[in-house]
Amino acid sequence: MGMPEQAQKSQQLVRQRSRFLLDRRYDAIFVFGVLFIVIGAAHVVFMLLAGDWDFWTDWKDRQWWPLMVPVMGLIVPSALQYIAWTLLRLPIGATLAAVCLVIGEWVNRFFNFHGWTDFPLNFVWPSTMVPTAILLDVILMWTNSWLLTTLFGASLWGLLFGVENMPLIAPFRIPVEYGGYVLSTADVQGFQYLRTTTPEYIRIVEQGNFRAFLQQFSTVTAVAAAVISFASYWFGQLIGRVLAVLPIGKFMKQT
Amino acid sequence: MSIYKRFSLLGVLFILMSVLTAPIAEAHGENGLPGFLRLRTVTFFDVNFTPNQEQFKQGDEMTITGKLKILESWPTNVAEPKVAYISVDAPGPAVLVKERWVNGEFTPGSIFVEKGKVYDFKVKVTFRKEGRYHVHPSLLVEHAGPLIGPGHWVDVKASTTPFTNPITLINGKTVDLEKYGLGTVVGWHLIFFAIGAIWLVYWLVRPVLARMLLVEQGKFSELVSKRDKIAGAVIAVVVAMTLFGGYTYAKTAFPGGIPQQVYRFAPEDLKLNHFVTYKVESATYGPTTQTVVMKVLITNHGSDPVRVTQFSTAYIDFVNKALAKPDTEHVMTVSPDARITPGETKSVELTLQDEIWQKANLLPIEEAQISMAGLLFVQDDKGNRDFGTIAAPLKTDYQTILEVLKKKEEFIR
Repeated sequence: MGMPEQAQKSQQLVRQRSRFLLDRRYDAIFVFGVLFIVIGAAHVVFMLLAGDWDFWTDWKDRQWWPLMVPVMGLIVPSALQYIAWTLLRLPIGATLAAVCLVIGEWVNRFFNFHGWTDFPLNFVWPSTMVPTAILLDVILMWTNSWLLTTLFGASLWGLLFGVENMPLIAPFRIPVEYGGYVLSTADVQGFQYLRTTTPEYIRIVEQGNFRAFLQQFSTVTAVAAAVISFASYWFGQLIGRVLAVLPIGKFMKQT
Repeated sequence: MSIYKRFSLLGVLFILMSVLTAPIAEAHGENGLPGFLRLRTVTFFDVNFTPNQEQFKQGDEMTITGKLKILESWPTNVAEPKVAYISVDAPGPAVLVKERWVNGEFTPGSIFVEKGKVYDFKVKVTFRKEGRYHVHPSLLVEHAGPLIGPGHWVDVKASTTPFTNPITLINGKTVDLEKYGLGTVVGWHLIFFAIGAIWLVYWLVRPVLARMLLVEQGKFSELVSKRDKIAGAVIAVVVAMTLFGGYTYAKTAFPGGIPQQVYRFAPEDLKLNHFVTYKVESATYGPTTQTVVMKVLITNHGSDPVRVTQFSTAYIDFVNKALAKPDTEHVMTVSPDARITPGETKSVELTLQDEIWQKANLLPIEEAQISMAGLLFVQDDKGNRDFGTIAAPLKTDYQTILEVLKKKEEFIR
């Protein structure tokens, strides 16, 4: 009894490509290359979509920062997770994107914001999404379901952003009496360190209808971030599918 | 020489020519701001820099005081001024803004503003970075952008001690705002980064590309084992514990945090005693003499005779030639320069011949509204001063238009 046609094709593929694919040196080159591509992609997307909310401590408020940054920051991790899981069965796509994003952002903040334009680093540090990225990958690995990963992983991504960044922002929320006003330390940084291209009036701090929820304000923001993260998670999946998985699949069939 | 070498050589030459022929960028391009914006939006006057010197060292302070009026002639093609703040234009955080007062009130953020109102300001800055740079007071208007006042060159030398920016927190601790909290931020970033790196290394020490073949064959169970799932559970627990640790640390190490604050209000109006009214009869520019001539009807409603002393537009003051000091930079001729008696209405011709019109790219010849505006000042013998906005369409001739446009092209080049 002969082998099924598909299995024969697979065996053929293994024989043809194993000389290249099984060599660890190619793995090293691949991972090294991917690292730089992901750093670049994650950084550019994040700069364009989250921008000022992640640049300055006085923009990192309780409403828009935990809403905009995780929602916009999920697109590339989601795309990379889709690619890594679909093509390689590796549950590290989101983690890789989050780690690369942190590297890219620190390089940007250190050389650009601090080195080039002289802002102190404690005013321009980036957020982190590494812990929730790990949870997103682990949930996918456990469930092997995009739907369940969306429901639990993407929602944790939005819900926990404020918690994972709380030790980072906490020093900058300590009050200061300044000019007869009580300001947060972050406000004083924004007041003192001149930003000629980011005027004060475009800073959006806790503006919007969420205030109607009074004391549950931060919780409502986190829940809203979780729900909107569903959409950005699927948007990322779509990008991963259209820009990577489908073209790679076509290429593999051709070769 | 191979084609590649030739192209490489050309590339190097191109870069060298671009770098070596580029002029030095100085000041803030205030002359590049469209003329109509500078003439018709805001006029700065009585601006003083204290101490009025060029040499400073890091950590020195300078106070900029002055007044500005948001003109009634604000252009219709620019958004109405409603929210704005007074600040300083400098190369980014080369200076620290320590205090900002408007009409005697400290303003931590933007304020509500109105056309026709006058704002008295005081901004105290500390020089943070060494270097030679231009410092201007400026009004940043929502939807309109920055409108800058007169500039002042400073040459800031490095201090022998590292620059610090001490600030006292409400809990009584004094910290250096240059690096406060940075250790905490970097420390927690490193902790989260390390956990992420461990998870990545756990997977990447194994063959990576070879997995693609097994995926194609559907051998998923060989790619993610039971051991991997346990490792996932362990790392998830570590993440949860770290998040809890971070939360606890934030609450215990930095108690009493408050959210970012936004204070926005309309400062109390300045009490101004207006006793003169103005009406512009005509305003012309040219031909070819770089001269603006304005005919203004001035009515004195006060009890003492007044005399025209000054015309200010954008950030430039033209002083009555008869009253000017030897070092006055810009002057104008007032004709007749006689006093205007109480109750009298007199037609006065102001002649402002100055190369600044073209040198500073001030003439709005290429704009949708070719007009002139600014503040005209009068003063009586007791020293009482009054001022008002004068604005009028600016007439010119074809020859002048051609000349101005040619100069503008040269300016842009």
